[in-house]
Amino acid sequence: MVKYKKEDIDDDDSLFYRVHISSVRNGKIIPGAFRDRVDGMSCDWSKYSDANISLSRSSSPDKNSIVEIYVEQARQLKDIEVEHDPLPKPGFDEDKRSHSLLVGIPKSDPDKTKRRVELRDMSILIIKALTKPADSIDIAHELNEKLGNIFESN
Amino acid sequence: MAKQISEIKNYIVSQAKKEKEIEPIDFLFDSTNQDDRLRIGFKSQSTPIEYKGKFICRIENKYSNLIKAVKSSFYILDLEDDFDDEGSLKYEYEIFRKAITFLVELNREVNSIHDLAIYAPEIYHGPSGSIDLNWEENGLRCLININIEGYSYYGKLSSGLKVEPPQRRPISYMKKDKDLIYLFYSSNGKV
Repeated sequence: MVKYKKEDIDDDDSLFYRVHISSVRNGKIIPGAFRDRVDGMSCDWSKYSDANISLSRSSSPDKNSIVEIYVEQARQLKDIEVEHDPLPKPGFDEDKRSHSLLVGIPKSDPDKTKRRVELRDMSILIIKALTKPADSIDIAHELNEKLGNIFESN
Repeated sequence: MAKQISEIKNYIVSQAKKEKEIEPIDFLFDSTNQDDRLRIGFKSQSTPIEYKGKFICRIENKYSNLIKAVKSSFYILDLEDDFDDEGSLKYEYEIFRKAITFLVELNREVNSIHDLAIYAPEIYHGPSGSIDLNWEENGLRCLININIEGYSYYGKLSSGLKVEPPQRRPISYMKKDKDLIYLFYSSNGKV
């Protein structure tokens, strides 16, 4: 079923990309966050969404952050294209007119690593996730180490 | 003479094994740096890097930022299956160990040129079970990705130098990787 017509995305627009809390370390997005899923990197087009709407559509809003990527900058990267991919479409029942794909991320090196660096560096963190499980693990390690040192010194 | 050298090697290896220095020994024997060889066995000058009782390597105490960065990366081994709610699998200890050993040896290679050392990177979990070493320091931007097949990278300096290998390389190639070593050498790293 097709409900919305596919449109051209303007260079002046931007994309909102959801990043899971496990891909945020010390308040920064890690390069591993930028990866191809099935058809490309799934994003929301700013024409039909904003950062808050994009976050609210997540199954766990408290465990996700939102980054913004400018379309013009993304298109300047080799082989990268931004395409409107409105839902629903065959196989996807969700109603999401803003859904778009950032496509062309290389499947293998050398370009895959380079493209991850470029995408990471052009992304702007708009909304930080509320929970910080990964950072909590750091604190636990630090505490264990301190306790270990105390026991050793005794 | 050869027999004597062999006996000395065996003695050092046996002593080092007691000190859990098995892995660095292999590297240090290849080193042409006399000072590196003399560091063997001086436990007080280096810190053993261990995760839950498993020995990974030793790092000299003067590289305190590197030690801190490596210890901070232990979170990667604590990630469990489906940690990202998208079905990703947990990270294998062996790949992690390879990445840390790679980092320590890269530091030694750079250090052997002019007593420089690399900046401590951020060490992250990468795609598909791989490990990322990430630098954003004083004009150096570099990402090295290490997986079971080897390593790949993209690096650049604010001066304009850009390096990337034509294909993923085996870990053992690092010492011959002049582009990568030159990138860190040129970034004028400090401990």
